[in-house]
Amino acid sequence: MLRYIVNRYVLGFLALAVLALVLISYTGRDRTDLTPVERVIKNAAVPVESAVNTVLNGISNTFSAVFTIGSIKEENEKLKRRVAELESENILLRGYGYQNLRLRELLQFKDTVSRSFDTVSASVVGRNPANWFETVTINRGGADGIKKNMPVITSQGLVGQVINVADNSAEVLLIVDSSSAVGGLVQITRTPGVVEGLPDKTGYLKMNYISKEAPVREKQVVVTSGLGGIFPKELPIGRISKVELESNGLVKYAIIRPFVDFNHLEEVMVIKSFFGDNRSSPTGGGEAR
Amino acid sequence: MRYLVMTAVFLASLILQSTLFSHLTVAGVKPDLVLMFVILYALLHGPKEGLLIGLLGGLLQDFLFGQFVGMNALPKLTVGYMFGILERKIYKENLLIPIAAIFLGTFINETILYLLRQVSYLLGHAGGTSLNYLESVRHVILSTAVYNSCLAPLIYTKFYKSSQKGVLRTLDG
Repeated sequence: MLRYIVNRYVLGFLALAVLALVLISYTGRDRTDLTPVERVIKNAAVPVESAVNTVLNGISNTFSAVFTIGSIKEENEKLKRRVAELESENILLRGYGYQNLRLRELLQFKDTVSRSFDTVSASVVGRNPANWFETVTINRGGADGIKKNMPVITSQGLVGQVINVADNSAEVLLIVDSSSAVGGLVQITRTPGVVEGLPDKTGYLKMNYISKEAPVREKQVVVTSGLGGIFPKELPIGRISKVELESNGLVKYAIIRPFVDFNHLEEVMVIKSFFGDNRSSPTGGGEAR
Repeated sequence: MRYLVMTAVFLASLILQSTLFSHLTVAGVKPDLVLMFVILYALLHGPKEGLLIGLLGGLLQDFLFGQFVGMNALPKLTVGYMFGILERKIYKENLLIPIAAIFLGTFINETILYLLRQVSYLLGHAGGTSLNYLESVRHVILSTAVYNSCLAPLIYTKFYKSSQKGVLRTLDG
């Protein structure tokens, strides 16, 4: 046994372990740029990933088309009914829209939540292979004007934020990652809280630090609060599925089911700039913890 | 030569893991093919080779994905080294050995990852929640270990033959 302890490999092992620790602390969240090595490797790998992913998605789409052909007819009927329903609702809402405009003019109301986002659309080409990190790789990068910390959304809601950028790809930290934290707001009651990912792989989110008396209930919608400056205000995050008292008895937390299906992310949009954002490029720091 | 082959194997595994296996998750987890190769390689080639291959696989993964360089390299080189020490003490023909090794190795690897993640959280490098170890074992570590060991028999035989006679053999010991 002693032979192994006084082995020169032990020294080599320790040296490498220390080196790795130094690297880890050097490449923390605050760094702004990738190292040249990472850049080269990412640039080379993304086209391959993208190709493999396209083929796999094709196969999986074909399979699901074959297996669901029976239910499609029924779904079609249902959808037609739904379209008719929505169309009538739409007309009503358009009426409200015009009314809103008129009332706004009457009040000289300044539009503070106008959704004037400048977005770039991107495809998801890969997911992080490790189980500890919920990140995805997208096929747009520095060449398309993507920068660190830019918010990423789909038409359903908030997806996450860019954490590092290569020339033609970028890594997005999903809001379901347990190291992600987003300032949230219950839409109807305006109760603030911090929305964090849960480490249990269920894909649910947890909204922390809700005050005990806050009128937060199931089925309420949670949106981004815009505090911290990374995410614009009012982006939908998810719907509350459970509210419970924290074990210390002082604050409540809510379990949120996100609107975005993180298991089937294919197309996303990166918000390059948004209304009310004075900085042209968001930089690190200031995110809600 | 064998380093080149292993680099190719690692890159292929990483791309498969990030694409194909995200469709094939079991209990929410994907297998860690790179780690499996590191453990098997270490079992057949000893501590020095295990250490280097663990470093190679882990670094490739760090360069391709994620934020912290070294976060995957450190656990993988540790596991590679530990299982390399066992090289002379085991019967390599027995299929149960690699299965057990991969189960145990995954457990160690994920535990180190858990600790690193916890430390980086405490030091403020990463945001979010502090994780509970038992919860992590229940939700991530155990399922990954089981998934990995189920895949072990599929690759071990080929890997063993290649290490004895094929492209992965050690030429000069």
